[in-house]
Amino acid sequence: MSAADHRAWEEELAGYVLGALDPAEREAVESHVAGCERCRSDLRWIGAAIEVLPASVEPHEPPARLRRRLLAAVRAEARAADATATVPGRWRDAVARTLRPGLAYVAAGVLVVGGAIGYVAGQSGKADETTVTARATASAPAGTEATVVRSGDAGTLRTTGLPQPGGSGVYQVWIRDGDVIEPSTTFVVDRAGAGVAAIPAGLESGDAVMVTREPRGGSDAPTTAPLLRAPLG
Amino acid sequence: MGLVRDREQRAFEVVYDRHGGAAYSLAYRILGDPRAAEDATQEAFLSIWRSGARYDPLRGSVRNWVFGVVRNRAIDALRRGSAKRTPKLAMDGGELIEKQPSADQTEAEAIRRETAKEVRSRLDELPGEQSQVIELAYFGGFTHSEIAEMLQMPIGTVKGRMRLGLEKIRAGLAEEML
Repeated sequence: MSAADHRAWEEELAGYVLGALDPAEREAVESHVAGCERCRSDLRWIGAAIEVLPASVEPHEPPARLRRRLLAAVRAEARAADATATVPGRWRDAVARTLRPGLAYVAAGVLVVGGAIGYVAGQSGKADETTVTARATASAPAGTEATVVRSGDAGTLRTTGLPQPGGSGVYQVWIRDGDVIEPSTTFVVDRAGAGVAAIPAGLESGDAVMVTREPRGGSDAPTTAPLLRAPLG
Repeated sequence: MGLVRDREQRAFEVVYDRHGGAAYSLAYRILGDPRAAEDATQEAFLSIWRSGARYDPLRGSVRNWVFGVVRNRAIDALRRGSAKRTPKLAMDGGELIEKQPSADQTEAEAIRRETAKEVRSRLDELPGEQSQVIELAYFGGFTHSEIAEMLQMPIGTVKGRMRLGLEKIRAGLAEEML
């Protein structure tokens, strides 16, 4: 390959690490890099420059409710999910690197022991889960389906067939208890129309789970008609 | 199962506490709106929780992994139109800064502010036309061709400026490590 050809690829690599390529260009770069050691090396070198950009951002303190919501969602998912299939086992790597970068592998090794014990213990642990099928309402697009997997007071809602909310919208989960409707988590769906929402609490006292489309950030009370209803019996 | 779940949740909590502030700040920088930044950060961290197994320690730091996920979510939100997609460049950065009472600033935040200031001053050393295209791509989510159209210049010029700008940033990093 000529020097001019390589210069052209170098410019594409800059666009690649900055996320400035369209999908076809990105695929072309990935295909080329897979077979070109010189470009792989250049990609590692130039890629380090990108790490500077987030560090240049003016800091803003996230609202405390964001941490509370995330931890509640994670707790609910951990309770409700199939432990052996969904526990992100390599979290030990992430936390080890976060805590002590120089000791990542030692720390990871220590945590593996706990993880292995947990995996063995988790093989038999789904006895308290029940699955409820939600009904799509007339407001939902054809083909919309959802289930709620309950584990005690918490659960996980999984949807298929909902369009991406678009604009400034999200989907929001609600727990209905008679005349009272309490807000729960918000979620979006991926390009294939699949969505997952952790429901941290409220399933034992509620009589139905509902889903509506709401403005981003969610609402305190539903502002649109329910798209899905799952009776909690 | 409680043991491993507790460990994983604590791990997630540590990662959020270490990187959540910077991640939210990045989303805020991209989206320019606190509620949209909150949504994008929430989506990103839930995605990180669900895909923790995809973190490969050999491919970089946790912080950069988190930044990558958050940037993608924020740019997706921009493209969905959940925040106004307008270029936000370094020259108007001062207007985007949310003024907070000094009493509310934690020590960690003060350090982050100082670090950000130092890094920005290094980026400010780049020729304006290079930092402009880099910021439009990274923070604005614009492609080569969109930037070329916006700035009314040949796409080759955009690509060349991006590459030169990144080379200068990278060379500056290499010098610091000597």
